[in-house]
Amino acid sequence: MSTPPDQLPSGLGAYLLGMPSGGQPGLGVSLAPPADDGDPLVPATRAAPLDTTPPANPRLTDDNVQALGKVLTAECGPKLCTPQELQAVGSTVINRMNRKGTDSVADVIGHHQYAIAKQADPGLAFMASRLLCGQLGDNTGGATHFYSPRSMPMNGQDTTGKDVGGGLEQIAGHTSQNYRPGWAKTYPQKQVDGVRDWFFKLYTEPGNHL
Amino acid sequence: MSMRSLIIASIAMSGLAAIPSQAAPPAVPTLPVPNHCDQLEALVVKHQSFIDGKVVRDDFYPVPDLVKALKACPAKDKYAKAFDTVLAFEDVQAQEDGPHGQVWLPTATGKDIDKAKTEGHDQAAKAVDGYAAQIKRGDLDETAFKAVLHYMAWQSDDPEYASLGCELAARMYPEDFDSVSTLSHGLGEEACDDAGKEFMPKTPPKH
Repeated sequence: MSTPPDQLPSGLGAYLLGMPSGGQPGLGVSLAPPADDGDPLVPATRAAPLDTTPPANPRLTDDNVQALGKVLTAECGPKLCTPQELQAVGSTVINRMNRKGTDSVADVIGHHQYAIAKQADPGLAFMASRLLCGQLGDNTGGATHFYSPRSMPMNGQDTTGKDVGGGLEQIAGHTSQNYRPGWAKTYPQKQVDGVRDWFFKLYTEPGNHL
Repeated sequence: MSMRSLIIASIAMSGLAAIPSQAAPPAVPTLPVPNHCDQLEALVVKHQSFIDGKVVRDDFYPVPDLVKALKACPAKDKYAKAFDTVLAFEDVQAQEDGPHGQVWLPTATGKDIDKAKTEGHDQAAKAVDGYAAQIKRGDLDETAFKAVLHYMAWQSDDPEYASLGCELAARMYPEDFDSVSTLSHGLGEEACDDAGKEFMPKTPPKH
């Protein structure tokens, strides 16, 4: 039996913000400077304050956030995917960047490798920023590739331009057979909690290159 | 007295011989037996709770269980058929934007990708037209179909169901979309909003 709507946590929004169901921020630390309490014991003249500014993350750029946000929105979006599925799709981009030694999302999503034909959903752009700065980690164990069986051509459908070299497969619980890409025959598959086989199957390209 | 006579006498004394060949009929129940199938129908139409065995089934009776239970109720087959129709749209919906992931060949062109999307949208439009035609012919009960759309939005713990109910409502019954979308919540609420933005007819700006 499911939870009634009025008892539900804030859903995807809460997940994206790292909030538990109570609505408290999940970071556990305040990024704001401590308030000046006017302590009379503190001398008026202080030594030069330490520079506590964290080093800039070269991946946390507007271009990267928008590009990864577009990938998340177009490949999955808040429409149907679970938070774990969104995180997994985003992780494949980050894993590709790590392998390629680049800080640019654009370097690894071109050549129709990822769908980007939608404007980034604001919530998913925020999720993208968390992925880029490492606040939201890789939940796939290093996956670099994925496909979505439900969106692949089914048996008898047009396959023009699509990699269907992996032949037909049948996902449990579904009557129609779908094609799978050729790399799915040889790359090791990664099982990820919260990711449904009918929606995403994740794989890691052997080696450490792309 | 022979051994046989002794045995018969002991049975008679023990009262065993008085046991009839068949058990007595059960006592007449004082409460009417709930009609499981009527309650399932009420659950779809009005989202009412009911008792199924010892378990209280509330508004969130899972869709697969509900469809299975309805299929055991021949008199309520219009609901099972409506559920099957809406659930089948999931396969069409999945292909509306073309394949996801690293599945395009290096030789694929922008035209190939656009063509896949166009075909996906055409298939979805054909499916919607097909449902409308089935309703017009009387092969699909419209009241049951609409009730199922509402139920799917109510099943918002699974955004897939909310998305199906809301997309079909937006495309086929835009005037009823508000009543469907208000049932969505949680992850499904975002899915429903998304379906509304994408498929509700765009009203011209007021001057």
